[in-house]
Amino acid sequence: MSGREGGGGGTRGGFGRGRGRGGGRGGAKRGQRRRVDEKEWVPVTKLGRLVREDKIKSIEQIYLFSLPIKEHQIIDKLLPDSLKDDVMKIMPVQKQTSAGQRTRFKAVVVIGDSDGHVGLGVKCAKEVATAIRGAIVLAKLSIVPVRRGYWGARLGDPHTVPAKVSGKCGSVNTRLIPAPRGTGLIAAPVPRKLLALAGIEDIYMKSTGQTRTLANFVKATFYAIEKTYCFLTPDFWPQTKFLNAPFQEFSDYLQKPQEKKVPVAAS
Amino acid sequence: MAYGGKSARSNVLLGFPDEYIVDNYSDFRTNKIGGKPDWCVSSSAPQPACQLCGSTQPLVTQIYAPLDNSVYHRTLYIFCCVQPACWNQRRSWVCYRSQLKDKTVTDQTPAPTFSSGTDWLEDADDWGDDDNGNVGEPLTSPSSPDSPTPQGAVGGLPQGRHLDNISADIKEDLSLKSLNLGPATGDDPNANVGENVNTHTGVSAEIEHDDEVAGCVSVDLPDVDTSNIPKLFQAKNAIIPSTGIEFTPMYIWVGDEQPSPQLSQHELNLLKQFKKETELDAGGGGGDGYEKCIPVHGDEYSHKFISTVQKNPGQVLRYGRNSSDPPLLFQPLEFRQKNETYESLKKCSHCGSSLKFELQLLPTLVTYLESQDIDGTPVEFGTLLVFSCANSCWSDGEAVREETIVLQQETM
Repeated sequence: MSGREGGGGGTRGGFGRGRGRGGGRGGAKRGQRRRVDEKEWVPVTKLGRLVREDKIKSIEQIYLFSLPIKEHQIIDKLLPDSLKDDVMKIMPVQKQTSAGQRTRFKAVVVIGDSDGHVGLGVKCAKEVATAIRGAIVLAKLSIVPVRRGYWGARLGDPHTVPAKVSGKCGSVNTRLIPAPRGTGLIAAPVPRKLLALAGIEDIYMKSTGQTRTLANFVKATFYAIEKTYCFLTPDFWPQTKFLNAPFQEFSDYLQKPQEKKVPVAAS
Repeated sequence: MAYGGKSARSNVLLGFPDEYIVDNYSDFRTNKIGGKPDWCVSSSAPQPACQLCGSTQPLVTQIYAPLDNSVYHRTLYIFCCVQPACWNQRRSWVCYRSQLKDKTVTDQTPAPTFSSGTDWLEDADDWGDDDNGNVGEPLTSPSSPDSPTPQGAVGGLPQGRHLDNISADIKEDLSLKSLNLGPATGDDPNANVGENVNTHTGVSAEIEHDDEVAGCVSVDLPDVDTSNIPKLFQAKNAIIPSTGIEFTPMYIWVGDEQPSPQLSQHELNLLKQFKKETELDAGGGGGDGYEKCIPVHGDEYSHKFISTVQKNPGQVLRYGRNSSDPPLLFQPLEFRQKNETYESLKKCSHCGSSLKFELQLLPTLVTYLESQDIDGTPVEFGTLLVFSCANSCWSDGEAVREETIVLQQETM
């Protein structure tokens, strides 16, 4: 069987011993691939199923209810072509063991569509390949919306952060300050990539601390960008009407008393 | 292929959905999803009813899983209740195990088939049928006498002619009605249209009127407002009949769990581009250390579950009796359900021996469960773990034995 099929021979046979025995009845020819294509995404979570059936059309709806996104294919489906990812750094990190040093690779990947969505993924693994793949998946899972605003007059599209925001990770403090149109990204080279992928066109940035620790520096910038939607500006002063979150409904459903039995149907 | 030279640690076997069953061609040795259960001894087959609401439970999956060193045919049948009020509750699911003594096989030592694994596989191709096994070869006809007995077949199941004794008994009991593939109309009580819709069982009626309990079981509007996410997460209140539901049957294709695939082209490009721009220096990354990377949603169990499932996409079932790998979980197993303790689930209820993890159903199965009588998703669940008796206790006169199951929901 090995070598005869692409992804590993399987049969219709029973599980356990004697695979292939007895189950060939009604089966396909040996060596035939199964019906479902491997590349197709089969969702695992309820949110994934809804996205795949196109019941949820935009990622903003998911953000509105703060639903956790657990499958990266959801992001692929909702933001199909515009996402660009970039490996910021792959660094070996070492751990001292009794048998010498053990080296693992840490990959930092940023992903974004230059129009208001960014994600950051950091993954440590024994091989570079695994680290990159894991980091891309984590980056997609961590995609957040970025709020952009104006420095001065409200002409044209938003181009900078709406207010001064700051983020902290480890010893690194970063502060993003709105800048007039045409300024460009006045920031260190490392976070500049992240800001460009976020869709921010003009910014002043001030950073403090040990910025050479790249993972912390990038994470601090990411937290600062995340905070743009947490900042209460006068636009949000009018009262918001809150919808019942689906989680709320879900938890009501979960809390339905299990002792209560639905009466047995008359048979 | 997997057996050649492998050590005692075997792989987890994965089940993938395969073709639809078209001419009701299945017996108790077929692995399938949906359809009607093919009992080993169908005369005393139980009709499973939901413990919570009493409606009949359709078959979800039937797995043929004989054990090593055993003379028995062994099949597991898993049933569930499709009423929306019973979703995600352990007591609306049940798993039966049925065994049948293989009359032609005496006790055998574990056949050292590892070395002759490939022989068996190659010989077994001579089944004499060139087209799909769907056509021809009814159960009772012996297979061609020319086809050689597979060498070194594990368990040594003999050719079809020896099965005549068993199969003759089965065939007359097998009453595989043809699937009613047309849309149910008019008088059919399962119809979604027509005047019979509201003359249903009390079960549905109860759900409709019971507003405060079934707060999230709202009336299913024909045009779902797609941007209204809360509604999408609510269990729909379709009028689901309490009997006569069946899932569309399909075969299960069994495969090994493969290790993760190689880097995709896109990832390779990224790596190349990165290497071009910088140099991978061997020194430390300026004070960076190892950090445990958990995803932003924070649920490590889900992340591990989903990553493992996505390494072999399309899997719906994991069979792990022969593997030392633990089952994939959404929550830790000691998690106490509201009214049950895990203690009650630790021993076989029939013989008192310990339980062993046998198989688990994955939430990907939900996508494949279809039923003609129900629009949309018939049932939802997180994962269903089946723990079976380690000795597979059985007494020959019995019809079925119930196995312990654990149901886990996905956490939001």
